[in-house]
Amino acid sequence: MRTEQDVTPKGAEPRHARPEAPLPSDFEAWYVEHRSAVYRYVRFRVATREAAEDVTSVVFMKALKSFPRYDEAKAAPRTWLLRIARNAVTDHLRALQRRGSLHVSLDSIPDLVADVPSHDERVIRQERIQKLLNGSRTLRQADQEILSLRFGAGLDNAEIAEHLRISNNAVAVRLHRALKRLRISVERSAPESMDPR
Amino acid sequence: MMERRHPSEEPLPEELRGLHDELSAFRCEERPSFGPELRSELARAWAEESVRRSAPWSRHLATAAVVALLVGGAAVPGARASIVRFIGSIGRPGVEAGTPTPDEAKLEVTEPGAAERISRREPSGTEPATMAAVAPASGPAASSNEPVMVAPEMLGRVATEELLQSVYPLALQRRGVGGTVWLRLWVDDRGRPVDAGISRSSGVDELDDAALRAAPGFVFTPALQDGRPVATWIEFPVLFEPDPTEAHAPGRILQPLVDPLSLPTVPRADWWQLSEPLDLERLPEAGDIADADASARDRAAALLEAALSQTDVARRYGPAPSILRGEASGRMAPTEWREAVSGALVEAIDLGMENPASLLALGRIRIRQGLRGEARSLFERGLRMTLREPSLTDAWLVAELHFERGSLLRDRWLGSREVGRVRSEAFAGAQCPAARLSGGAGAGYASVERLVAWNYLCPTAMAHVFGGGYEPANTGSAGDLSLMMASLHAAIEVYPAHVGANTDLLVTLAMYERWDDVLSGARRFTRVSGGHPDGLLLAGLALQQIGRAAEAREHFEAALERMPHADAADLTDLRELLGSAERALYVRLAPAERTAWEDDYWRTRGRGASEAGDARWVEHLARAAFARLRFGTPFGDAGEVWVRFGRPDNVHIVDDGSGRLTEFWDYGSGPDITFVRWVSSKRTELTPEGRAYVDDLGKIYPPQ
Repeated sequence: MRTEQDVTPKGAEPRHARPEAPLPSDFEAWYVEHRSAVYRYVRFRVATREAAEDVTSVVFMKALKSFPRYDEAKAAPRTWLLRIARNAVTDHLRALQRRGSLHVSLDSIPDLVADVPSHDERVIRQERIQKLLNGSRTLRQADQEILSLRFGAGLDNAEIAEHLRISNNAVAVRLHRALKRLRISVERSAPESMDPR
Repeated sequence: MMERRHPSEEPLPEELRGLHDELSAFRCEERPSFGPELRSELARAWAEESVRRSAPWSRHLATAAVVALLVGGAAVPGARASIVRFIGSIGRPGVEAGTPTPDEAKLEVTEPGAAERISRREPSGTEPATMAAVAPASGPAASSNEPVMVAPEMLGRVATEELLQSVYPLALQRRGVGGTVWLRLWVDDRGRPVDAGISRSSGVDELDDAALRAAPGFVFTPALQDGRPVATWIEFPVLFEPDPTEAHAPGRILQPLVDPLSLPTVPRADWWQLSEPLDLERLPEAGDIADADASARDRAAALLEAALSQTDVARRYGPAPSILRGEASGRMAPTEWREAVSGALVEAIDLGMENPASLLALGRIRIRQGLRGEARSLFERGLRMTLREPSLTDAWLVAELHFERGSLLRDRWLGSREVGRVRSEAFAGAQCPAARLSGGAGAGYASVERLVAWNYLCPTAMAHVFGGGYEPANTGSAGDLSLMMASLHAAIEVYPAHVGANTDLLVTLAMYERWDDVLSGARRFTRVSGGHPDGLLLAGLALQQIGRAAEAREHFEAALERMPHADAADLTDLRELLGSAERALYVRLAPAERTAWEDDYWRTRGRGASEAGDARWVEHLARAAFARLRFGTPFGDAGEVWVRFGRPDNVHIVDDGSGRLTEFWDYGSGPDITFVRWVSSKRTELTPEGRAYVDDLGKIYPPQ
């Protein structure tokens, strides 16, 4: 019987770089195309990178399990994956809420970044982003959902409308309201100016 | 670092633009190896899944059981559907020897309404359980040519939990009686159970029946055979497990079943003396009543605010007392307000911050949103919390939760009470030439349209039809009555002055004409509430009904003095007793002029001058009082007819199956007056035919 060492000498490429057992071809394509959007959506909703990785793993495992029953007529792949992600995030948060705070210390946010030239400015931006994310978690679920679809998964209004099965106009209205509520929430928690400059 | 795109499709106000831009700058770095690692895990899982898919039947069974246990069972605490045992598929006849392939079952899959036929019986077909449990690997299913099968999985954990909880008889829960019912379900190729039977009884008939009632509501993914959905049998144990915190709690969460037509008992030394005749001269001032509950309401509102402290909802959508009542306040549209507030209350629950006050508020909002089942669960959850956390227990708040639960049960009871139908064959001996086009006798039950038409075309013949063919439906309303009254008893026992609970309980007793009990209960309610006018009205109503008109009059007049002027004016309103010309004049009068008209009206009819004159005045007040308490107002259609004609001799209620009830109020001569009422609603409106008839009566026989 061949062992792993027979085919992977020590010091060779990392394990993930080896040819993998195949996934269904469609699923493989979805994974490549939509993993980042799913991860960002999840990361927008959960407190840490580790949690985001766990939840993203759950999303794709569930998707793979349900893949034979996927019905293209009912939802586009990304929409389907983001729906699974929404449920997975909800489950994760429920479990977490039983144990403690949803918020995360500003010391543990190395994965949140901003395109700014200096290190100091980058740190300030990181803190600010984390404050916004913490603020968003005080909002109601519907607000969190639309903000994470927009600013996490990067969907535009039309795509959000398709995902939520509502009109484009309704998306714009909800987004507007969610931003307004977020602004109030963040102002209340930190009375400094909302002006990022 | 990941690239993001962010089209800005609509202009945002300036004050939000900065925030939008900040969020648009959101970036997160994935760990570089995360993507490949996850891909590896997925590939391994897929490979294992592929092996499992090609495994023999025994593997399928084990997998199905485990999956279903995880998916369906783990999150269903009280009454859970724990394990699905996949029995086999008949999607392709002949694929499996020994698999149940009943033609009749296949037929039922395609027939609309098949789910309604789910009944207490063994399912059709052969012995699938034996096939599955005993010889899965020895049959053709184990051969190498076996098609790849995927078992059904249960969907909708929360819905399943609620469904099972809703059918689990409360009486059994309270007694701590549980058990496992093995159901055998035929799940069609869309995942719907369309046939069910009991393969193994729990030994408790009520539990077996409950499982069968729930069966049509289960939802599964369909079984797959070579990737194609197929129908299948599954075996499905439903575990009813009483909540230990509820069954053995030190105290009662929900009142044990009571004699539904009895008065509550309160652990108070002078309770029985409270039902002695009232000294109307010594009642407290009316102004003291209004604020009797104020401090309790304030405490509950503060408790509610504690649940909402993180989301600042009370400040934005409050005040808290409005939220506690579930009533929109401020300038927001009520629907939007309810959506926003209920979202925040749900969030509080998600955060584990709920308390009995927030559950009460959310339940009230859910009722207005049409989610009555969820509302009931919330009230019951609140009640359980008050037991587990006595520090949160406030007698008024507990009574409110009991009362709201009782009100839901009351609506359900009113929706099923005395409902029946008329056998078509009852028309066989009836003669109504004018209704010849509406058809003769047939099989089954007569339509509501036919009953209404015959009622107005041939009332005498219709009396014959009702007399011989009316068949009360077995709707379980007695159970709802018991539960409702138990809730009302509980509310009164914990807070004896509770207005809603006392009123609903006493009106229910009045509907059963238990006048001695109504009188006794109304006196107690009046005393403990410091002279609430509804207590006085109910006492007056009971006294009038047992022939003590003089005392009744004193009670009614005391009630009128203590009521807000507008409410008192509603009760003394004369419009239903006037002909159309007088009525037109009367309704235009200013309040003071109207009072003078009313005094004059009754004086000319002997009030204060004769016993008969007084009796007429008291009779009018009694009718108006009952209409107000029973229908909410003396001015709706039902109130109008009640005030004008009094209690009908008989009422037949027919359900047309659409959630709409048609009531036939029989006053002894002429057609019955017909009303329509929606299930779970107190609102009772005249049918168009009923309205025409009542209006015609007003023209032909002006009220005296």
